[in-house]
Amino acid sequence: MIAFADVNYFEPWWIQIVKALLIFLVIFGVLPLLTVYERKLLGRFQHRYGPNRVGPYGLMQPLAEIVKFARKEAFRPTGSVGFLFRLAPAISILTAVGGLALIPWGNVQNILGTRIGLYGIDVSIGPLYVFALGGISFYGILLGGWASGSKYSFLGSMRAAAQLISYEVSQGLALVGVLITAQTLSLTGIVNAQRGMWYFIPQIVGFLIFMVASFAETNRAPFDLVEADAELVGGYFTEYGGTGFVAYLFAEYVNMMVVSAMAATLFLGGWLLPFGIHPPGWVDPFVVLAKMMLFMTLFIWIRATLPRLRYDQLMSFGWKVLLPLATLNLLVTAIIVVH
Amino acid sequence: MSVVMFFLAAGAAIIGAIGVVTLRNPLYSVLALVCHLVALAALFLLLRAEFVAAAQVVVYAGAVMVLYVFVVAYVGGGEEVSAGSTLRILGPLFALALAVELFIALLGSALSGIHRYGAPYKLGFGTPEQIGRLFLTDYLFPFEVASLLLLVAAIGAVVLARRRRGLEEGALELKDLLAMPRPAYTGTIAEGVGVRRVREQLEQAHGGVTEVVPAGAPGSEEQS
Amino acid sequence: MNAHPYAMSFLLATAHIHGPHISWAELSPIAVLGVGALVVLLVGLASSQMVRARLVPTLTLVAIAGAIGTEIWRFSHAPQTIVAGALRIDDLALIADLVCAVAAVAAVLLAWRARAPREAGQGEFHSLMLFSLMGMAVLVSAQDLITLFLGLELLSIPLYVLCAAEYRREGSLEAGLKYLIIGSVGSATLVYGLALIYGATGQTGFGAVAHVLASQSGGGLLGDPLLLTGIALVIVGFAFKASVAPFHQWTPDVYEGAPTAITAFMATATKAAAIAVFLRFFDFTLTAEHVNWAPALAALASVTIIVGNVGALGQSSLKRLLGYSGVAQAGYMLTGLVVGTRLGVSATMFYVVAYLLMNLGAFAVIVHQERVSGSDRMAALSGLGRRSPLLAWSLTIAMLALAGIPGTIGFIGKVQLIHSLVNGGYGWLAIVLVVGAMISLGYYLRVVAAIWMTPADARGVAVAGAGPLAGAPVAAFPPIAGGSPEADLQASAGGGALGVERLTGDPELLLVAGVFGALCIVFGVIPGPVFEFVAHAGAALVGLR
Repeated sequence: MIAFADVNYFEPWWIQIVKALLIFLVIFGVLPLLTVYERKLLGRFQHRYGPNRVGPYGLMQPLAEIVKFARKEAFRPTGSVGFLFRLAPAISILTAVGGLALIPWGNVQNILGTRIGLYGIDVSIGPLYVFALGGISFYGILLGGWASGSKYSFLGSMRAAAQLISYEVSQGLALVGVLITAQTLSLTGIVNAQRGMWYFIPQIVGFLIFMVASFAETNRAPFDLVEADAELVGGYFTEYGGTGFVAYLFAEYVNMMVVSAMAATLFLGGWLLPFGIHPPGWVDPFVVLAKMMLFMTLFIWIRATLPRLRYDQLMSFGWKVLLPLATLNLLVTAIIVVH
Repeated sequence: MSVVMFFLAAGAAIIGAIGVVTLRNPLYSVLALVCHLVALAALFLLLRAEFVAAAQVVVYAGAVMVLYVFVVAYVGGGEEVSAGSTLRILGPLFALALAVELFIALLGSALSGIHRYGAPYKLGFGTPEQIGRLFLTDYLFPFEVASLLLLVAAIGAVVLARRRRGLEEGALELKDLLAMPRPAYTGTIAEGVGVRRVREQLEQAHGGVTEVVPAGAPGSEEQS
Repeated sequence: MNAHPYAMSFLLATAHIHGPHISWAELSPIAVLGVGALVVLLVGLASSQMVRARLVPTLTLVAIAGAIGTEIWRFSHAPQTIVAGALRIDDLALIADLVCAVAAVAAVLLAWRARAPREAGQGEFHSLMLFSLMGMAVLVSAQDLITLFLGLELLSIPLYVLCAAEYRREGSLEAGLKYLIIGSVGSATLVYGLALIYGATGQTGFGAVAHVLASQSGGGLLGDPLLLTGIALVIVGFAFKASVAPFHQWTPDVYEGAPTAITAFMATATKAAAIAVFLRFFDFTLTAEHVNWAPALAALASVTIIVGNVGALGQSSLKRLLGYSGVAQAGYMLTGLVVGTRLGVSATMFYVVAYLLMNLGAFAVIVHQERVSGSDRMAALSGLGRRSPLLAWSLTIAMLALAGIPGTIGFIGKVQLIHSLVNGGYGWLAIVLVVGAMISLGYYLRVVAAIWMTPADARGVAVAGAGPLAGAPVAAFPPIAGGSPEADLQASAGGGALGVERLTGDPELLLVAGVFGALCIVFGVIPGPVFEFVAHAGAALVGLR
């Protein structure tokens, strides 16, 4: 912690703990609602209602499910490797939660005489931090699949490894275009640099590549071959039930939120509002949340609309289309910025 | 706090490194290496080399080691070939000598500086900006050569791994297609570690090495 | 921008950065190779088979010729350190560059009709070779620890792939894999050593390291275990690349398995580059530490000479034999480095040039031999004198020169080395060298005997009567000596094929064999031009006696 702490050294140490708790609680309060939101929306897309029995409009559904999952028997397959089997979902959820720290919810504010940055941390390496966490989160999936001792899980995790590596490259390159334009890696710096124009206009190609790669990185449809239920039962978490399963499920949703927040920060101007509207500082987090919800809706919409890709299509699209495109985007951006 | 972090990370790094060489299951070895690399990244972070730490995790833990896991999980560990008798004694001896030498060199220098403060921290140290600046000024040439090196590695991977549709001109001769592995217990390394005697014994006992270890079987190269 | 603590560094970053001055004239030998490699790679994508099979090798030759041209152009100019101290283009570097480039020309010619480039893809094969050559150029010019390491990797990684270029042949794959693994160990050792040297001196530039060492001599760093360990590891790392015993064990196997054109390239060019960087690193950067590293290197050199020469005695495969011979020759070259004088540097570079001339002719004959009889067994040489006198003479001259028979360049080279050794106070090493050369007669002359003395139908006799160490068990179980069973198969099945051999070889092989065979004799008789040529190398390293 000490290594990060010096980055926003102007805050007392306890503020950081409060901020960490606050972000964690808010996200994990929103998360169950998000699952209901997805199911309701999917229902509407498919011309049905979705969950509507538990509580008003079915809003209590996640509570019921959490209770159900928590009370499941904790079993594991005979062929599984015990400690890795338990460790893997923990890695997944931990790295996913770690990413939350980076989301810039707002600028530095003056609250009760202390200057507080409305973000977990603002590191000088910015988005690389998310990539680093993403790198470790591979192991959650890989080990989960391998330690299950089941071929479906294993195939799912192998697909995940190949897919994540392939699309991480394009995602990173797409993001470099933004970094070059903003000339900083600090996420608050990037948002501040978008005061004139949000980057999804000059960086439209990068934005599209980033979004497509993000779908692949979070294993969402149409890139959800990792958990293709028709072929692999459930992919890497086939053998998981109860809390392990919930950990994977929540990790996926937290990853979606982080990616949405990154997209909002990098391309949609973070907490900024268009048309020169300057609301008071406390509005900023809600702006960011609204933009995130926009992307979450997009995630769900795409899931309801597009069929799953074939594996070779996925690979050739990643390497033969996205990667050259991202490289070209980077090259053009660099040339324009320099001149 | 930083001291606690240091000892945690340093301990994890050492345990990971020991795990890599001592664990018998190759997948656990790889995981131990991942643990080691992540701990190293934490140490870099303590040195305020944030970019290096991130690069370490992204590149090594996140990409290279994932491929290792990929391969090891797919291929699995083959049966281990035990080293020849000479090698079994000499190997650890040499390793021990090297370890002692390195310990003297590293600890000798490191311990002499233990009561001092390290180099002063300059604003901007270890940030991507500073590293990028070095790449474009002092280390411009190595940077460019490194990019060519990566290109070469990519070409090499393609050359070795691409699907072959046969030669352009002329069909392959039959002898080229036949697998003709080197028989077991031959080759320079085998010569070097004195397998000749083993071979002779095997020949007297079984009338030939190839009957003991079928050529082409895993480990039939001069691992001996 | 808010009052962010990193605002300062952002501002710094957006400020204009002035790149280092790049002196293109000095950089041209390296730049030509890099551009050539990229062009060749792109042209290799052409769909026309004609373009790939003919234009690509031609373009490769053009690129190498361009590099040779620029190297000659820059030759004997004042040495210059360019691109922010990364490289130093001086005559030592240029001589090594020229040697490597000539080796590359020969390798391209030897590969002209070979299977390896067709199997790996013409564009890829040749561009990898050019990249490797560029790596050598970077390596020998390196003036910075980081450039040194990158040059070494740029040299090695293409070679790992090229060794395995004949992908379907198991020997080739084995060679590639073995070279990759052992080469990586060598690189890792080297980079560890470089890191320790950096740790001890706090500098990466050669000049700066040398300055730190020189200013602290008489105590200080000289006894620093960090520095000494670093030097030891660097020696080991270089020794892997130059195949110096006891780090030579990959050499015969890799030489035997790799496509022969690549073997020729590796044997000559890699060795030249490795020896040149050895020279620069030890006789320039670490020259203040001479007392510390010279005994170690002297011991390594003598071990190498003995191991290489004794190892070669029992070999029946020509490529393996040349592999072991290369180990021994690396030992000879090291001796000139040990003395740490200008004379020693010149003698070493003379021997590098001589080694190039002696080996390329021999490899051309081996390529011919493999195409005709399908194997590189020494026994298959019988009757070569009648079938193809030019090749037979070329191989004979090469072998005699390698052995150091008077009248050849090998003799002059050895005399030069001995002269520098005696001058530098390493008389005992000179004796080791002479003893090694005497042992080497045992196998070089066997090759000559196989060419001229054995009738075509008595090949078995040649194997049985091989060398003093090759007793009855070796003859009974040829694989012991490392010969592969395919060679045996060929040797037994090739009896009928001998009758339909072509009488002469492919023209490019004859050219390579003829030219280098002739040069061995010409420079053996009139060594003056080579002396003048390599004298520049000695003068390039400042601070030597």
